[in-house]
Amino acid sequence: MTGSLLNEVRAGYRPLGSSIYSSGTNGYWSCLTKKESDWLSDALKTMDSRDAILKIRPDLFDVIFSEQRSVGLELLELSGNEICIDYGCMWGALTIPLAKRCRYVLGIDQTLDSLIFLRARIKENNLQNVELLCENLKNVPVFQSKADIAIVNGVLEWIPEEGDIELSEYYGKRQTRHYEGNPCGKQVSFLRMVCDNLKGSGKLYLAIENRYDFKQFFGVKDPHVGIRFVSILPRFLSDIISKVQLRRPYVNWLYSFNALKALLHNAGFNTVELYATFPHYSFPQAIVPYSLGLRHHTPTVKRRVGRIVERILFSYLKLRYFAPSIIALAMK
Amino acid sequence: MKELIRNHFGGNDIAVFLERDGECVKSVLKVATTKEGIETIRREKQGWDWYLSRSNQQLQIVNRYLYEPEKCYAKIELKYIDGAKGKYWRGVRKNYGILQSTVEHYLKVWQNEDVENCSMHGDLSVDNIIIRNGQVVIVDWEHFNKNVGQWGFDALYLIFETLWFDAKKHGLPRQAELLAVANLIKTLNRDNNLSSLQLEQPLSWTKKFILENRKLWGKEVESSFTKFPVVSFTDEQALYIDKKLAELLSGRELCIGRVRPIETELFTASS
Repeated sequence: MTGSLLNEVRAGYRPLGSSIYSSGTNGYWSCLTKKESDWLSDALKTMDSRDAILKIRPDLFDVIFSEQRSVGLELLELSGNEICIDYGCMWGALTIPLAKRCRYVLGIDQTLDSLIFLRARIKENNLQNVELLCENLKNVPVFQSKADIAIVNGVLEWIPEEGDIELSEYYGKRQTRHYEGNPCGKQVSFLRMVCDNLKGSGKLYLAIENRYDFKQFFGVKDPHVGIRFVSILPRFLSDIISKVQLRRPYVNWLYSFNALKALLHNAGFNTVELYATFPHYSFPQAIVPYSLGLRHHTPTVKRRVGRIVERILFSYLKLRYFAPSIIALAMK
Repeated sequence: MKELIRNHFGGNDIAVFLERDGECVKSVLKVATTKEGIETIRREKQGWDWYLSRSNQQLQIVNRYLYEPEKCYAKIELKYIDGAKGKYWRGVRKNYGILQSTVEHYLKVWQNEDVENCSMHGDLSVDNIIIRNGQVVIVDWEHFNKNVGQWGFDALYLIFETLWFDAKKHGLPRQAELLAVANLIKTLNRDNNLSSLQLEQPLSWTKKFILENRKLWGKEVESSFTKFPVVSFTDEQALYIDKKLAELLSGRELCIGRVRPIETELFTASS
């Protein structure tokens, strides 16, 4: 089974050195600028991935290497026999821990530089069961061979985006961009492909910020575009604000718990379990089943005011609807 | 359904989940994916095995244990223990019944241990004691170490950690609290197992032991001193408390006044 998925990748894509396959139409989405990515690639020739990141962008060290990030995978009840596809794997924050515990992992990302970095990590960890595919996530085909696990971690909101993104030049910066189609439609199409690539008993692990994250109501900037209130306002208003401030429409759509559930049903998933996640899905301190509600919530944000607000909203009022992030486990 | 309640908190490299069946908590799951965390899980398992073999309690606690250092992964699933427990921040007097029962329990469990090379719980706090059907159950064996410490360390640590919350409130503990501590130490030394230094300077000795053996607690003691209130006593406080305790222990009958029934100290527990 592992072989057949790999064979399909081999048949459909050309190899770029060991472990990486590509369609030849690379894109770019990264927290690093293209220049920093080049420096990182150069650094990897003389040092290991940890030292390279510490040299180029030490602020990203935990984002890439922290073991805290992968704790949500425990919800998947992995047996060690699974074939997994990590959509938008980037530097492998989940790919590496997943590969240590599963039979085979296919990491897919459109940014070749990220995959080259991830390949270095794979070698350092001596992992033989990971292959990487450089491909735009919207163009990933439906494979004949199906996976047991699909990971969509912090990816869904970026699916409607078009073209290259250097985050430092994108977040809160004016950049004229044009899009075709409805963001939600693109997200559903992507999730349908993910669903079609899963076995009947397969599971999707999806993590995304909550549209109605309580911080958004207090004027904290949207984590994707850097404008206040855009995620909670009606979409057409967010669109207007974004066009005025950033010269581009607002396409990084987030969802509430109920809307995300509906979206996943719409994409072909029959069973959806939702989890309220604090303070963020990247570094979760608490993951609470949405259906069971909040019990003994301890504030997780660092700022004092935030802690007071969190205590009122979640410890006393138990308003799980305003949790910062959502993790969804979906089955066909 | 699983609920994450703690993730790499306070320098501790493990994630803790509750396994829920609706409202009811079935088990506690501890998971590690780092070298230090995996070692913590191994210690927890070793600690439970050691403890259950000595405590005469017919408990089946460890449901599942997976130790795979080659995959950077370990987990232990522990049965949820229903019971009641105290609140450490209420100090010695309001936890006196729990402390006394635990010292008695310590004497039973740690009897016949080598005084110089004694096994150690490493985090014996009121928070890690559950009263189940009137019996003490010590939980959270993440810092267990076999044959490393001096006999009595855990019990002294428990007493002084609780006393620290009295000292925090009043600057220095009051006479009634010191009397209660002296009485607990006297009970602990029933079989004359404490060393002369432990008796003469119990707090300074406990504090010194932690500082000289930091490696037993890994990076937790470095990253979060507040997890070790005993170390937070100033030298002046420790000197005063030791002096007072030495006076109280030096002979005359200890009268600690009215002791509240243990039931008044207990709250709904979670292990």
